[in-house]
Amino acid sequence: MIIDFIINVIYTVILVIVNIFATLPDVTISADLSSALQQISPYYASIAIIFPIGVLLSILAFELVYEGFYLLYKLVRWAYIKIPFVN
Amino acid sequence: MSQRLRTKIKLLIALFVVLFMVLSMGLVANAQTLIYDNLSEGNGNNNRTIGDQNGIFAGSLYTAQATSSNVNLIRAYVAQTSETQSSKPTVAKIYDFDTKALLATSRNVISYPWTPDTITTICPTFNTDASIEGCYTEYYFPDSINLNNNKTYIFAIESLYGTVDTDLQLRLRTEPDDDSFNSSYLPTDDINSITDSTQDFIFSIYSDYSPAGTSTPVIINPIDFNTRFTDISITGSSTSVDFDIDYFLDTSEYTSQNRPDVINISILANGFLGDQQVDTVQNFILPLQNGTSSKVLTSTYNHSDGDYIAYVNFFNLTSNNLTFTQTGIIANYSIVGGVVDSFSIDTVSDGLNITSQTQYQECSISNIYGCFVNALIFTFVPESNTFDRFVGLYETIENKPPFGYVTAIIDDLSGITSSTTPAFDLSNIPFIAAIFDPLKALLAIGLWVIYAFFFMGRLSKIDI
Repeated sequence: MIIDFIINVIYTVILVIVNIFATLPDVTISADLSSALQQISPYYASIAIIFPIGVLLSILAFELVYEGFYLLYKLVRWAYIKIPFVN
Repeated sequence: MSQRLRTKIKLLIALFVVLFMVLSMGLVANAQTLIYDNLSEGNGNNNRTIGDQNGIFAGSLYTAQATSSNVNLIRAYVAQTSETQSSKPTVAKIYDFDTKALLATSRNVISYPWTPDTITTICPTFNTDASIEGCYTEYYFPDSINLNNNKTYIFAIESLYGTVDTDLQLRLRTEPDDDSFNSSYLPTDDINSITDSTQDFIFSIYSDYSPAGTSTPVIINPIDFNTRFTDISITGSSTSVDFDIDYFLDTSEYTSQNRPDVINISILANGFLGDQQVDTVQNFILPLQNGTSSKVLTSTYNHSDGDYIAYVNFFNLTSNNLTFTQTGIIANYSIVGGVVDSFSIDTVSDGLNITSQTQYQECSISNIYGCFVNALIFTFVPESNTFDRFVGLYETIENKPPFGYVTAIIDDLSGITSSTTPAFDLSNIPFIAAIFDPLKALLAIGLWVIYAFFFMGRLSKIDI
């Protein structure tokens, strides 16, 4: 019961934040970008035998996630300092 | 902003990054973990719950078929052994898997050598087969039912005889070779300890017998307590193996916590199940819907010639506290000359019953301890569905900016695989694998270490 209460409070806070983003339109990226990434595959398959390209892709994915959250933080921070009397 | 606060915020951002990656990969990771942790678990004969009723093998029919000259039908029976009570109403039915049409309904017959009037409290062995002891009640299908080739049937007992532990045997008899009843029964040792006479359960019967009566086996797929079962066939080549899955799912008997929501297929190479480690080469997840469905999942894993195992199982990916039990198919198949040479359903995993360590206990004057345990559980242990809602949160924002850009790019990146036909093939160069495999491992470690230093350095200089 106590843990449930704490988790529900956390869930409610997260839900409020999530619902703000949920009102935004879905992201669509350029088909050219997807096409370009797909064209990498044959070269990736060739080089993968001598170089751990998968690691590079994992690092790239990690970077993207990090940058995404950093951007999110800056957005929230920007909105936060707009509140009167908040430094 | 103080330095201390900045440090906390940096740590928070790092935590969010890790959390995002865990959520991104959570579903697959969850499935993989569940498979190997629980394959060897069973409940024992006295703790059967929904989903445990499995483990029929077709081996016994091999003998019968091998001696048949012209098998033209298979008849189904279910029999109770160790029976100690007189006849009571019992209904068993066979349905067509695809159409759910009722094909036959049983009548309850107390068979040789016993009649209801002569039933006593002790039933002696009635024949010389040691595996069939005691008198038995035979639920006989009066009409001959042709179980056609390559077709799945549902065998359901709608009301069970008796309310105490009861051993059951599903018996299939080939005809015209029906003079030797005992040679063609299926030793359904796992069907026992059924304590609820009102529950149905379903057998999936997949017949693949030869009209000419050769040694092609009849395969009995995993059976399941009335709410789910699956069937599978495997075809294809070394570059594309198709798993054709038929499943039946009745969600009406599940709660949100224990309802199966996916079928998972794990392809295992050169491994074996149980307590031993196996090598997983690919995983699939098939989302489930209520009712009957058929789905083909294609493996693009590059199979070299050899033997493989496909483990097919039901999972609930959204619940942390599973009281749900699962039944799986373990299908063996082999690749010979670049094509799927054969497949067979070799064995069936025992049921899984994940028991919570925080189960409520009896609270009585003789067990005060149980009362305290219950009080603590009520106070501190969260409900299993408390965490379920968090899974949906990620799905809500995964396609929204700015997360959607990350999701889209990662999706595209994940489509880049080494299994694509290479632009130029280096694999034929002699010794290239021997030279570069260890080198690649070192490079991978080096890249991660370099990136870790780079990332930590950047994190320390982040502008907050």
